[in-house]
Amino acid sequence: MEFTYYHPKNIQSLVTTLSGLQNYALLAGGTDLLVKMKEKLLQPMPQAVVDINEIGKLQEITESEGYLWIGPAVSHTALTKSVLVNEKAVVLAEAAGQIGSPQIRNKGTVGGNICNASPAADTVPALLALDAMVEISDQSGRRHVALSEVFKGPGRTCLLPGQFISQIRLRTIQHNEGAAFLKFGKRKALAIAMINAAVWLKIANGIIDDVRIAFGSVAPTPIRLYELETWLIGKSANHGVFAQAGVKASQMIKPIDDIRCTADYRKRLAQIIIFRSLVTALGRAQGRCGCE
Amino acid sequence: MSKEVICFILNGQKMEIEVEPSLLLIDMLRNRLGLTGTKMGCGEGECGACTVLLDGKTVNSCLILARQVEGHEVLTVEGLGTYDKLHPLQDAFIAEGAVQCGFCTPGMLLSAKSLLDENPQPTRNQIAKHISGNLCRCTGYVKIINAIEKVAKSD
Amino acid sequence: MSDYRVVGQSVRKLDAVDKVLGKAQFAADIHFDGMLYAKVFRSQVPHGILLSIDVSKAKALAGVVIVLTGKDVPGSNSAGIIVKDEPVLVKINEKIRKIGDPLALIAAETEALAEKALELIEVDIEVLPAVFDPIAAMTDSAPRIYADGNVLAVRKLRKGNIQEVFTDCAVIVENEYRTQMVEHAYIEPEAGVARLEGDVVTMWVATQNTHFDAKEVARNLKIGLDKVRVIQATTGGAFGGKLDVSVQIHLGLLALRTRRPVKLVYSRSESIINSSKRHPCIIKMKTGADKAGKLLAMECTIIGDTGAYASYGPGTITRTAVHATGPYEIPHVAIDAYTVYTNNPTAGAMRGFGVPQVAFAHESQMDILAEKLGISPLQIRLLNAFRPGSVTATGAELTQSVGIVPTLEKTKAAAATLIDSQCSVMNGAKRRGIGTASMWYGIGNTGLPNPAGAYVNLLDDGTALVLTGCADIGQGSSTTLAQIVAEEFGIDMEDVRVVSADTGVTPDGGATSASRQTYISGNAVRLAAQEAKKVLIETAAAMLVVTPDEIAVGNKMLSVKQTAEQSQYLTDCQGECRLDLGLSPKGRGLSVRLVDCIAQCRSTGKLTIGHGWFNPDTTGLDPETGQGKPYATYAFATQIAEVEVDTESGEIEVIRIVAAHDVGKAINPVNIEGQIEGGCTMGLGYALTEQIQVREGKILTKNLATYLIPTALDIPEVYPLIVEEPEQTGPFGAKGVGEPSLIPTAAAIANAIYNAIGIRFTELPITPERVLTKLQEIQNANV
Repeated sequence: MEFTYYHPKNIQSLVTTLSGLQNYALLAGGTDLLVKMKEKLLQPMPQAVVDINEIGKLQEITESEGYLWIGPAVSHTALTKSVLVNEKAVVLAEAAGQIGSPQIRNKGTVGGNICNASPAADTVPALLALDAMVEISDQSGRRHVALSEVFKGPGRTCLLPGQFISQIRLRTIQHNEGAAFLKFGKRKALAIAMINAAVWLKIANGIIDDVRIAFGSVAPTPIRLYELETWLIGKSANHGVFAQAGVKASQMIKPIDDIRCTADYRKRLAQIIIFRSLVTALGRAQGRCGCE
Repeated sequence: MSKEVICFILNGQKMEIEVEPSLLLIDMLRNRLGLTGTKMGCGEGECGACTVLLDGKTVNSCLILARQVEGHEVLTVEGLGTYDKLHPLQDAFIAEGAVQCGFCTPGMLLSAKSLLDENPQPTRNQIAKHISGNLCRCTGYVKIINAIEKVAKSD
Repeated sequence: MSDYRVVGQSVRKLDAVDKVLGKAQFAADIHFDGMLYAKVFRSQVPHGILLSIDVSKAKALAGVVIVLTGKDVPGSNSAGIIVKDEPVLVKINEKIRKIGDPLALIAAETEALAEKALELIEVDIEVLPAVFDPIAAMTDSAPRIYADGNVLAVRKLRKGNIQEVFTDCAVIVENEYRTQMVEHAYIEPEAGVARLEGDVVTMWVATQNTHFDAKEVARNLKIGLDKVRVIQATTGGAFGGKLDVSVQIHLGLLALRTRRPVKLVYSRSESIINSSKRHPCIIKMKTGADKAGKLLAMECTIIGDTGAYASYGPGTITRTAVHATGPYEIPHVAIDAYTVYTNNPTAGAMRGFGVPQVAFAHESQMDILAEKLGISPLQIRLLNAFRPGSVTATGAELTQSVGIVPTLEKTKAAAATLIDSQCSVMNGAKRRGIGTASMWYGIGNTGLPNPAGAYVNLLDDGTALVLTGCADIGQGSSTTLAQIVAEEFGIDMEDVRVVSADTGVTPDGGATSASRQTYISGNAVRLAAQEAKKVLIETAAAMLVVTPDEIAVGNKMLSVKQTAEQSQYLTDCQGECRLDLGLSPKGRGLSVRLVDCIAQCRSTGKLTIGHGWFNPDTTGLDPETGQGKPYATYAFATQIAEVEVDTESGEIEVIRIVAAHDVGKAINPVNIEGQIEGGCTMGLGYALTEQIQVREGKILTKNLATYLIPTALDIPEVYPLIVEEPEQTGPFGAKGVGEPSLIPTAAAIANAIYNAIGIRFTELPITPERVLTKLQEIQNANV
């Protein structure tokens, strides 16, 4: 590995640095990037590494009316410990808390989790369920893109050279709303998901007023299951409906076989993951603790 | 590749050293500074044998550039205790039979230390979760958890 | 608890301080000035002929000091545990038999340069048709991996008259069991450093057998065995995977040619791809019993895929045959076990050596039989378990130290309080179940001589130096051996230093494998200590004017043995007999201090040194019938596992394991617990999550992200119980436990899963996916 190392101290400096580079990699936690570089999986190999960890602005978590704003360089551990996240978007803290290991969570970041664009990324379904939007910045300014539009394929995002995620915005969980995240891995730590999912529910008088359903590991990118969401809206929020939703989910997705498990098993798990997470989300929406 | 001098605190002492950008933290510790207590088990962040404390938090040193520790504090197993004065965790590991081949031990000790610094009275499950990024193939983890629990209870 | 002062105590391990301080020197930690870094260029093709290799560009790279190929190996260019079939560096026009076969060797000034040089080597390989399925490999039409064919060895066991007896059986159970390829996954990848010291090729390596390594190095470098010195570096786990030659010969070649120190460290994926594996096995087992549940007959065929090279293959597969009955009396037996070559990764020694595979089979069979007969798993085992006087399937009589029944009873008693569920417990989607499995394991190499030697030197100041070939791979053998010596001399652990596994200094201890070191090196060390002790005792006897057999050694003293009466007499006449001066009635004193006795030895020109060697009393196995006495002693164990199955996801959680192991004598109880706990965890991985996935000879799961061993969150509560049925021929009665701890676990878990959900899995690993698939099948069938 041979490269020049940059460590800009603020966003302007980051923008300037990136605009002057041909072939670079952004370094946040490094838990994916460094593995890829060691395995020579990046073609061509980056000639420059731009470390964003000294930019304080990228590590902030703030709140505005109905939204949380999270810097891309916020570590997974910071997400699990953040009072704001735990109060307003606990499902994200739960998802972040199931990534890898304590060591990986201490360095790995939510922005990195997004940009690495693994279909199995754990924070992404939770973010999608909270209708996340990312702010993409570069020399020419900033624009906003729905997180669901960011992923182009396994390991690929819509980010062009010179661009970076400067903020992630998600909707906070309100009264009468609840969200849940579930992951099935082959062991209880250091496990890449066989399947993961997050749901968000808004209940009004026992009816599903609004819902968001996001899956990982069942497609080339993390996805929202819009068809299922449409089906659920207006239905009663009860176990029977949730069970049907589970069946539909397993029919709607088109996963593949891979080294962890078969497509068939993923479909079966999809059924349970939807049922269980909807039940938990409902319990939270109703103000009780999530129960199975 | 241009080298730069970095300054950081290593095991409580100020350290200045010239490093090239691609040098990994683990390689700086083991090969440049002769601190071979930190071990390389996989190079991919999957085993935790390379665990060190960075500003008190556990990290896999095989996935960190040496350059990145400039201005920070690093603790390796060499900074935990000495022959004359073992750290209570080191003593407990020995007493409880938690050391077999010893390859995972430095990483385990540092994970344990960071846990007890943050949560002096962890439950067994919290201990297990905190060392879940440190693989051990010899002990089955039981006596490691016993040792950490013993130190927690004695405080 | 123990009758002894040091033996039987959970003393601290000798190497623990260095390890917790991070000071213990593993091979990759060793550094010498001017050291070169080596890399190995390997075949990506599983079966082929090496037509040409061009290393010119690699050689030309600045910083590359040397590149070696097959023609540069001075000696036999072959290595191997049993058969010398592994190439050191494949020669032109010779065969490549698996992915990973070494083709060239580079040494460069830095590791990065050596890696760069690898990319500059060009090869031309004629690809040959390969075979990856052992059953296919056994047919005549399969590609021949070796000229003699693909069946390397057959082990046969014949006893009684099986065909007649099957007709008498009230119940017969016949099944095929399949077990997977498994990786040792020691946390330390293979590593070594070598350099010339004078004209001696000296190396520090991660290994389980320094003396074997030295022989392989000497033969391939074509130098005398006295010109090779292999020293075991602190080794980060092995489990059978560091018995085969890995870095040793390559390092020796480079050190000799460059005359500089050289280091070779495998990456994790290099370690997984190139180290030996557990034999995947296909086991067809047919067991018959009478209506009371007494086992009458077993017919069994075992096919073990030994991969491209033999390694420990024949030994492993022999063990599968010898242990296939389980720890039970079965009077009529017919077993055929095949060791088969394929172009898959080499299978060799892996903790349990074939017995975990057959234990999965025989313990499943026992539960199935029990259910058909309407008796409990415990009952069928108690009915058939070996007892003193039992005769095994190889016709060996077990005269003593047969602890299988105590382990059955002890686990049952413990489980009664510890495990609160009985059969299936309904808890929503979750079901609980418990399962039992027992095992036996012969200690030492099967029916083959495998001695160990030792030297013990009692120094002038009463401290002792122990020289043993026994490689401590983390299990604590050095500590155990020190305990034995400390006990023999009546000194403390602090007074004993063990020098181990250094061919320049220590005698051959044999391999640290087959759970043999406590028993064999333990005896060697004890015999050596006793030889030195003899000199002490004779001298003390002279000093105290008694006969040698009146002398007792202990507490850093040599004392006149006293009967109870004598003690009383001496107490009674204390004042009159000048006992306040420590004088016996004979006026010569009751005891001498150890150091004074040693001084007396020296003043009469005597050294207190001893040598000892021990070889278990065994015979070979008859090639047609397998009859013989393959081991001098056996370990026994029973484990009970409690599992919880999520019937919606198929996930299995192991809640508790109660494990009772007959170790003969627990020389260091806490270390034995550590072995049991570690073995159960490895067994859990074997049962549920671990599998090396291979496609066309290529390992797909070549890192720790895809080869999944248990983390601290995956472990159950483990309750290790020590059973002591002393082995008369063992040091202080001890046998072994290293492998037994792993052997029954997967079988117990499989039986527990059956108890929980009524599904019998005959293939490992039992993954959630397989569980769910089966559950769905049953659900669909019932609809």
